[in-house]
Amino acid sequence: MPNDDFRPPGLSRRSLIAGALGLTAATAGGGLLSGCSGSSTTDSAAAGAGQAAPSVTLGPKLSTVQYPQGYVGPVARTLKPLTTEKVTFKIVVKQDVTIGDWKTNAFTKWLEQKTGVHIEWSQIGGTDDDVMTKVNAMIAAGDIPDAFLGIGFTRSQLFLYGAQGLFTDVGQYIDAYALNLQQAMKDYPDTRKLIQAPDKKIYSFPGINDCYHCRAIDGRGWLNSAWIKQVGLAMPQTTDEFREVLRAFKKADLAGNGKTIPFAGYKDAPIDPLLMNPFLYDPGEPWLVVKDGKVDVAFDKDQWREGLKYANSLYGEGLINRDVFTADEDQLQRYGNAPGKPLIGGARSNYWGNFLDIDQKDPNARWRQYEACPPLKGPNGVQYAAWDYLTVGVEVAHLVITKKCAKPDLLVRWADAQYELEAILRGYGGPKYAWAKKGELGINGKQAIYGFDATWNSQKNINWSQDNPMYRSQDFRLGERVQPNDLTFEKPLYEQTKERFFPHKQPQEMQFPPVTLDQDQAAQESELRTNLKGEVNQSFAKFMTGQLDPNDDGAWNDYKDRVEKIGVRPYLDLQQAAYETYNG
Amino acid sequence: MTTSTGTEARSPVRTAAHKRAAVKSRVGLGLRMRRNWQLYAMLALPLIWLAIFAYWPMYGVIIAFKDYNVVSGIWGSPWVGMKYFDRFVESYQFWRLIKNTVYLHIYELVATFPLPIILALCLNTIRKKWFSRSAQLITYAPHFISTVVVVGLLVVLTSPNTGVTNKLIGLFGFGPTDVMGDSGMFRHLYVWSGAWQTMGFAAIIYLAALTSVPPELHEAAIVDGASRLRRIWHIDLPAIVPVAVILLILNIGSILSVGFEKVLLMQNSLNLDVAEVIDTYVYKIGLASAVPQFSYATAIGLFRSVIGLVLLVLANTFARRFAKSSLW
Amino acid sequence: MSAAGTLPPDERRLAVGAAIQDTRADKIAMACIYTALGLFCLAVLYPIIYVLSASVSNTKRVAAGEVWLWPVGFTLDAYKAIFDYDSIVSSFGNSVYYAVAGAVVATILTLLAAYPLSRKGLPGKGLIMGAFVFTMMFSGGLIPTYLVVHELGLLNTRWAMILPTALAVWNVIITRTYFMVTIPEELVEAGKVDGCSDFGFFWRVVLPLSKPIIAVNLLFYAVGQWNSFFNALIYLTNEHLFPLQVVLRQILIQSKVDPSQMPDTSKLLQLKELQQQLKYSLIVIGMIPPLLVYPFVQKHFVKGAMIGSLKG
Repeated sequence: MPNDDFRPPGLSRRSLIAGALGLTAATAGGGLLSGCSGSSTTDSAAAGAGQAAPSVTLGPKLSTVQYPQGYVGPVARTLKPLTTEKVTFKIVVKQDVTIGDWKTNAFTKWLEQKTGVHIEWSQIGGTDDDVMTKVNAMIAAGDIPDAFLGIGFTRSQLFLYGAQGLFTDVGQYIDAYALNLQQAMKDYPDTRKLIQAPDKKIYSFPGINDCYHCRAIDGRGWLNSAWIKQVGLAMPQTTDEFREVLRAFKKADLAGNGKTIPFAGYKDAPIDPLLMNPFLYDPGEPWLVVKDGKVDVAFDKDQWREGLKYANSLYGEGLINRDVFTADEDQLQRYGNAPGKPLIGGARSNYWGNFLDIDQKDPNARWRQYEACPPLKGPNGVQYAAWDYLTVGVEVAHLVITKKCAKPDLLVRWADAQYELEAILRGYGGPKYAWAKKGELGINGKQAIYGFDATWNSQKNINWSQDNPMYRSQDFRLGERVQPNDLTFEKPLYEQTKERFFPHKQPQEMQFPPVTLDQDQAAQESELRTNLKGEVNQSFAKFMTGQLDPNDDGAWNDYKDRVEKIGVRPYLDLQQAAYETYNG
Repeated sequence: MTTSTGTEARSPVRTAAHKRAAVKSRVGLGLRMRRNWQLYAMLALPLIWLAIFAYWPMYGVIIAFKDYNVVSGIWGSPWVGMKYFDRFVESYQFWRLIKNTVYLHIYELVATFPLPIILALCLNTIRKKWFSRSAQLITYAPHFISTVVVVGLLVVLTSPNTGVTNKLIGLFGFGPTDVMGDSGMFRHLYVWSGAWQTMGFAAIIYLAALTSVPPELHEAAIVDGASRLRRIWHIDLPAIVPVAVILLILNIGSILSVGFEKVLLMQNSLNLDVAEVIDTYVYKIGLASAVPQFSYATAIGLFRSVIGLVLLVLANTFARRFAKSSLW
Repeated sequence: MSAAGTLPPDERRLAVGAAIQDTRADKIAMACIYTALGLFCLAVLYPIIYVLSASVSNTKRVAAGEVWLWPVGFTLDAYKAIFDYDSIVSSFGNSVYYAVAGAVVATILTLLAAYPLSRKGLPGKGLIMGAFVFTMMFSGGLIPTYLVVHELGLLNTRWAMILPTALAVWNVIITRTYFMVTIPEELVEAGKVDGCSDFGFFWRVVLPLSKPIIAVNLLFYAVGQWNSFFNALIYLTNEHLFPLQVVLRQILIQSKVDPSQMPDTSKLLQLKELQQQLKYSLIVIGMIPPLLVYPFVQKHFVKGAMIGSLKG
């Protein structure tokens, strides 16, 4: 097998970051994935291709590239042309001003030169919804390309269209030709389960993006550590301490002129996971959890009500911005970027960029004052970091090959070539990458692998803006060189997530996995989910802002009745069925 | 048609009175049609367009009665009868959606329908040309600011912490409130920001209609000593009534639709009980679903069209009787 | 008609107005009208100035909420940045093309439909009118319409932007109503007496009398095309054919999407910077052509224009 020298040497490091998908044990390559071992690869290559099957091998490794000890991830190799004759595929993509014209894009040219595969692009404009509308219209008109790249099909759509023969089952081609993906599937043993449709077929070529900090994105809040010091307190660990800190911010009025907002939220980043997880596990919308194999919801439990009381009291004391449910991101930025001093002592948001401008070059930039507030411990000792084991990491639908495609095997190999390290760097970054020198350190403090020119993200027409299939393992992501004069925000994001959230993650069994629905289930689900979501969000907001009183039994029972009436039962039955299908 | 050309050309020239009498005395339909062949010829192109781009695709509404999926196609998908209509009518939100949509639409109609008329009459009355022209240009401009930005500006202006409106009401001793989160304020914000944005653009149609007023009427009225307001009321207003009535009828026909994008952008957890309307609901159920629900969306659209058509016919009958103006 | 008949209508109107003194009530009424209009203009001007100021201000200071009325940290960077994006520059040209071509085609169709339908006693008029109005209420929906456009081979051509929306029934109805008011039946009869065919009458009498409504139609259709993005999204897959609104929509809305759906913070940051930089300058760019065009339309909103041309 290729890549063997990078097999993980032991468990010490991995137990630390074991939250990452499937990086649970070095032996994980066995069991479930035995069918994908090296020997069967060659078998199915011959079987799958039928005619004179090309013997697929990977190019030699580039010797100049440094890897840290125990590295798991994509490897730099010489890319060999995939075909000698001129082959053209028609592929539909999204238009994006930063990608520019796909035809003249730097990565397009590079990839064509390396692989010999020519692509004719069709570009769809607009938002993701617009794109999906157009794609559906194309399918309805039978006006379909060889493949869709970076179009956000849901698992349910892949299954529906795949089962009807519109999308090609690429499973056999992956087993035969996709050597890079095969290695990635060994590194991330849950991959196959996550990309399989209920009929055990694989209707898209996946991408892997093991974004460590993304796993704790929903419950994350930030507090100004300089302010905490100024009021003489420490970073809060419990719900009571959190309240104390916010009260102190308000009292000290650190923004001046009575303008201080101790803690702020905004409408696009729900605040409930931050305030509920000290009371019960709350993964955020649609609030589905699994208890002993049974799917349940969090929002009608008594602990939820305790959380509501807490939220209500914080809001009632004026510790949270009045427009927590209505401010948009621009408004939050105005609070955070206010001239002179920030108005906010903290914010519920995924990362600093939502409430502040990030200046990576300035070591004293304002964003550096804000630190992740750890998951709080509630009065009953409950303390969860809602950890996303499953929906972050493996992404379906990066490349969807249709029945129109005459050479799906070649297109699979083309996608697999993009799992190569240099292709990844060029694919999402651009040509201005550099291999790290020995001794340069990465985000995780180990040997760095690569670095970018600091301005890479302001150029146009040089990359595919993450639409392409790539293999970005955790080690890869953390192997980006850290420059002392341009301190990337990825480093503190990683460190604070690892240190503060990871230790409090809920057990994996509690997370509701990404399931696949059939057409009828999807129809019912969308209606029930829309109505439940509306009711739960609205009631949460009303309880928190005091329009409803969480201490009033009547108000709480009315809420539970409404949720019941909308159809929590049928909703759970439906999700339970999908969950069981997912588990095979 | 081609043969009739000759007849028409050879037919003797009649006097106007003669001809009107002839029409009244029920000249044969065929003859009347032949006589008007040129008018039909003019209509041909628009009718061809209508047939191709409006009527041809109309067979597509049958997917409201089917379990449509794009792969099976419109004809291949299985029939399900009234399933999707039943589902909508029985849905938890049905009455709330109807109520919210109708309230919002009627409020908008009542509040913003007269405004462009008033604006046009004012602009038309003004004698200072530069003022009238620049006022027109200025009031017309906001039509081109996209909805996203308009809603963003609403958020800025009404922010409880930094917004102007709260500074203003603060002067009167009222505490800051979050206007965007007040479900009682949603309709006012929606309607009046809409009025502000579209009033100038909507006035254009009335300005055009006002050009048909002969200046002699005004001159005569001035000589008779009629005041300015009386002239507006008796001379200018009647000139725009026909257009206004037609616009009103059309507006009533679309009672179950409102500006989807703006409502969606203005929605938040606190105002959802009044801000969820049919369009936003269809969007959430139909498009933001794991599998797009075309049949459901089409069924709701059809439901809305039928109600709109009934109201349109009623309004038209009413208008024909009382305002002597009608669509057909 | 009146003694001042030889003067152009506007001057004649002024002459008469000046000759007779306004009454006190008239003066009060006029003062009220001026004040109300002035205030409304101020209310409307504020956001426009805000957008303009924001577009020439330092983006960081816009994000910090420092811009309230006038520019802060004046810079034209946002406008320069537009030229870095080929797609934005070419989309501007496309938008102009669609607006002009679309408006001309649509206005011709509208006039052709509206005039016959305005004539009294045209057999089948009610039926045809009904056929038009019906399509305002019922449409086949997105996918069947797409199938038709596909069938006609218009996909991914400029025609796809112009033909499917070439006629707005709303405009036909308004134009018809205008004809019914301004072209009295007596005029038609008189034309008949003079031996005018319907074509000749339409060309020589109706069109010259209808400059205001033609101008309004051109404007409405051009503005409709200018503001529209949906046809482009659905029918075009070639970036070089996209209109400006598609790009604008992507920058304004795409970066508003749920941050948790974003694959990566670096992408998020990139979109955010893009939005901060281009948002206001793009809106200004999008507003300029319609504002430039308006005075030409306005020119035709002159009182008595119709009578004037009748005499000529």
